[in-house]
Amino acid sequence: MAYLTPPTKSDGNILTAAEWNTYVRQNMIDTPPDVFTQAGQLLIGTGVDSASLLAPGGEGYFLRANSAQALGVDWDVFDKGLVQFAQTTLANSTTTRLQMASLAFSVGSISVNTTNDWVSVGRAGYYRLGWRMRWHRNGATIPDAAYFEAYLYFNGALVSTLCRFTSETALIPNQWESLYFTGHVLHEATGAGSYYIDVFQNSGSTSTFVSGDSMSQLSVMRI
Amino acid sequence: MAYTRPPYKTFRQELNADDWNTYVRDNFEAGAPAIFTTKGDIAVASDIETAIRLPIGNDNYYLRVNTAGTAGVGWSSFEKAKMTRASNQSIANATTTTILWNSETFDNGGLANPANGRMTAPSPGIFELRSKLVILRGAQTLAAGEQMWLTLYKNGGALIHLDWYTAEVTRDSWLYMTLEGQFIDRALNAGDYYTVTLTHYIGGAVDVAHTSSFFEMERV
Repeated sequence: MAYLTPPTKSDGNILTAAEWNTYVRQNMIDTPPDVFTQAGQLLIGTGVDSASLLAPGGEGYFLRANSAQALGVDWDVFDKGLVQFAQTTLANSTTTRLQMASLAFSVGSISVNTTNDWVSVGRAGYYRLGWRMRWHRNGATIPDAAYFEAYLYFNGALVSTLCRFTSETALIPNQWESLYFTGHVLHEATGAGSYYIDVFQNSGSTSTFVSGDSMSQLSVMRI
Repeated sequence: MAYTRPPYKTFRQELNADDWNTYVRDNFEAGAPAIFTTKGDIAVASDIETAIRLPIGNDNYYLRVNTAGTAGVGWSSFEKAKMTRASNQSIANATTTTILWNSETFDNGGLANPANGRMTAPSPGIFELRSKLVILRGAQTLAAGEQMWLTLYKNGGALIHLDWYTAEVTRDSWLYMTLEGQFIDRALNAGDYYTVTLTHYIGGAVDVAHTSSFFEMERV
């Protein structure tokens, strides 16, 4: 946008046609509101006396400072997605990856890989992960001191132990059918990568990690 | 240089040098893009017929309404921080003990202080706080009726119990158990600070494990 500073005039100076065309007409053409062509555009500085248009962003996007961009700003979205788990059979005393079935929804760069059972984030940032997991004993007798554990990993590195349940004979653990585990954790992803959950149970028999819309989910939100 | 609305001219009224300098030159200079100096600058109204230059913010800051500023908007981040323990912390029986979070996992916005385990609001706002304690049983047996609870404090006063566990029967099989919870609070002042404590009546000291125990705070 080629804005030119108008010259200073003194008494008796003539305003030429060229000056009018350059400093009034063209400057008006190159500045708001003449420069705008559609709703949602923003005029952003690019240097001394210069600016460019930023095109409208996507619905729900926020204006973000980003020095890597030509204008120094861009439209950004807080990526978010909700993973639905698939029913997963948990063999005894075997670390098992929870199977991911689908994304109930996603915004931004969140995707799920149902072959490797991980949910991927496409860029670095701070992510809040929330989980709800249902463990089902399938009618088996759970012995004293048996336990169920779940671990959250990012790119193969442990982020957090999500939960641990230890049975006690005195608690009559065989009366229950399912246990729910819930919680949240913040994590800084230093780049694109993938989250997954491994679980371990040593109840003495095969049990099940239950799927379903309201049963077992993992939410991923960039904050 | 301020904008001045041009006067209405009548037929054959001359446009003199003052008119040009005031209503053309100065008016252009008072608006965009003449007020821009740097990549990312934005022109924002600061009053009637008055525009100012809003300089670009830090990377990953977002433009937010802020009536305390001249422009009415400003660049800010959603601050967030996380602290953990560098080693296990022993908690004596029947003693409300502040968890000394002494390892900073990340601190985006200057919330965390690993010297005293506090999370502090850098400015007024609404914040979500979360904590999880992984409690190691050690040699202790949890007898029926014995309890432990996790409490969030604000400015030194108890704010809310995040979690509370009471044993119904004697428990001697667990290696560890977790207390965890979250709460949203409005910090009215910059400097409002938060801590968490563990209180238990198990009969002897237990450890808060450094693995997977944490204290988090984020602006929401």
